[in-house]
Amino acid sequence: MQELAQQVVSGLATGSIFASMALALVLIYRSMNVINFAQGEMAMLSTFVAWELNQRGLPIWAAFALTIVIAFVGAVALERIVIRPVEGAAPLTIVIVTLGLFTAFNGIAGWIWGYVLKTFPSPFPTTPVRVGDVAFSLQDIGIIVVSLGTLLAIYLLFQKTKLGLALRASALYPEQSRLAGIRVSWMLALGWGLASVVGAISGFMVAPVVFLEPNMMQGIIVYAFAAAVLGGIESPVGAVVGGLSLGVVLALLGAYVDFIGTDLRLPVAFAIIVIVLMVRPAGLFGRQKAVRV
Amino acid sequence: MAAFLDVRDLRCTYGELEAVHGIAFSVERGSIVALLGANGAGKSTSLRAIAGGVRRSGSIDFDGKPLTGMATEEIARRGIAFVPEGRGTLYSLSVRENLALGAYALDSRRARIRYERVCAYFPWLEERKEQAAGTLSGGEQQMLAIARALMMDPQLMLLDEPSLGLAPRIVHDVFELLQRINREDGMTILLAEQNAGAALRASAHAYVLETGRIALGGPSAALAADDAVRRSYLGY
Ligand SMILES: Nc1ncnc2c1ncn2[C@@H]1O[C@H](COP(=O)(O)OP(=O)(O)OP(=O)(O)O)[C@@H](O)[C@H]1O
Ligand SMILES: [Mg+2]
Repeated sequence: MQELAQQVVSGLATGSIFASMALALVLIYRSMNVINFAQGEMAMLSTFVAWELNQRGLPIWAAFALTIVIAFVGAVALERIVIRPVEGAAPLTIVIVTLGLFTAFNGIAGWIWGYVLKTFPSPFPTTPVRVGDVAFSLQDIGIIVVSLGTLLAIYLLFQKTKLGLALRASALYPEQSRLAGIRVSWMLALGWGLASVVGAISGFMVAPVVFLEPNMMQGIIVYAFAAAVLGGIESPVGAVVGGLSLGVVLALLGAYVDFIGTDLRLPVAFAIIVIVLMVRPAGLFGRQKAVRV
Repeated sequence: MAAFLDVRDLRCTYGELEAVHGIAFSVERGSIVALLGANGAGKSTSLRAIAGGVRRSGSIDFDGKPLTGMATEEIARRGIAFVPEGRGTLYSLSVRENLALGAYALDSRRARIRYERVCAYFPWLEERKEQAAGTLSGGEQQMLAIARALMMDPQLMLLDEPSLGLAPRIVHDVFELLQRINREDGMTILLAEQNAGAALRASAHAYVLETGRIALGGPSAALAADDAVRRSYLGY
């Protein structure tokens, strides 16, 4: 029983990182109908920036705060300069551009910081806390709180503010949004900025666990993509639920199903996803396209 | 003095295809003007040209300043509200969100004033504001589209086939409402219609488009009274 609780908490911690990255992917997908393959590398770059700032003497939380600003501004600029020219192009063209960004960011990080694993300071105490006779890792709990807090903030921004309404409307109904005077193209850039911030935060959370290096997000982004598809690629709620369930399922499989271990976790997770998608092709929270015209 | 909306030598193209071949028309401030014509005559294209949704050349002056070269969102901010063909309902958003979006470019004080004005025209919106817009009936969606346009506090409303797909009784309501908005708010309205009868009754002035050219124009009453015009152009 104690072990189950521990596994669930640790699964939720990884799951909340998948959920954040999955949400970042969904934010871009909803507005552009493409997967931003560079999303993970943008998060990795941001994490390096935070590490660099910390190395130069900034306290870790201050480094996070400053990096979030940099990640936002950088992604908005990236959208304006690199994505804007292909905004109206075929999805495949944009996909190629994001793949190009993926390799560029990976190369840039390797060129500046090298490929040697770096330890990234954990913003949370690594001592466990005891609840009854179960010991939970404070790190796991910190990751869950920060990730879910970020997701909640994004949710409130999108659902409760006028800007959020404009962001949603621009993604779903660009033509009508323009007619209402919304600068849709800037909303896209803002979406890139927000996705980048969410990604950066998952980078900060995962780096102490996996070590910092240019390829650190590549495993995560695969799970995040799986989580997004599982939840329904256009659904932010689906991305979060998909990410959390994937994290928990993986933790439980690893702990209780002996033959799976770490090597087979990825294929097994994908098998589960394929089965879910066979039953529900639009994903768990996929939009039912039933409208009255 | 130039008209409130003054269109001259307007040409519109879709890729290689020219759909509107150099038309001219004007709309006086505070009037209702109708663009009539058969399928494919270029009514929608002309409205889209004003709202900035199609490649165009020529001149479109609104309140003395040119609109050509401006993007759709900036034209909207200049005070032109366009209700496109098919009403442009944001199906998955609530009625309240549909209206809030109309007021996007206004500050919150002006948005509140507009909301009150709009609810005076459509009291039922208030009760159904949490409902998804896609679940409204066709007539209600048309009303919502007009309400959303009104939320923008526009100086000119463009409506593309507001009667499309509606039952005759609802068509009557829609036109009655447009006339009321014109009368009470002094709203200038330019509408495209295939339903020539209803449009001529509601408008002061009308133009008939034929394959991308203006075949004739004049006071609506005169057009409606001329048997030859009715037979050859309006088909009723
Ligand atoms: N998006 C488009 N791409 C290419 N050609 C178009 C497009 N929209 C309209 N056209 C063409 O432009 C011409 C004018 O069309 P338009 O839609 O303006 O006519 P309309 O008078 O609004 O007709 P309807 O009564 O059917 O709405 C037609 O020949 C049409 O085929
Ligand atoms: Mg039309």
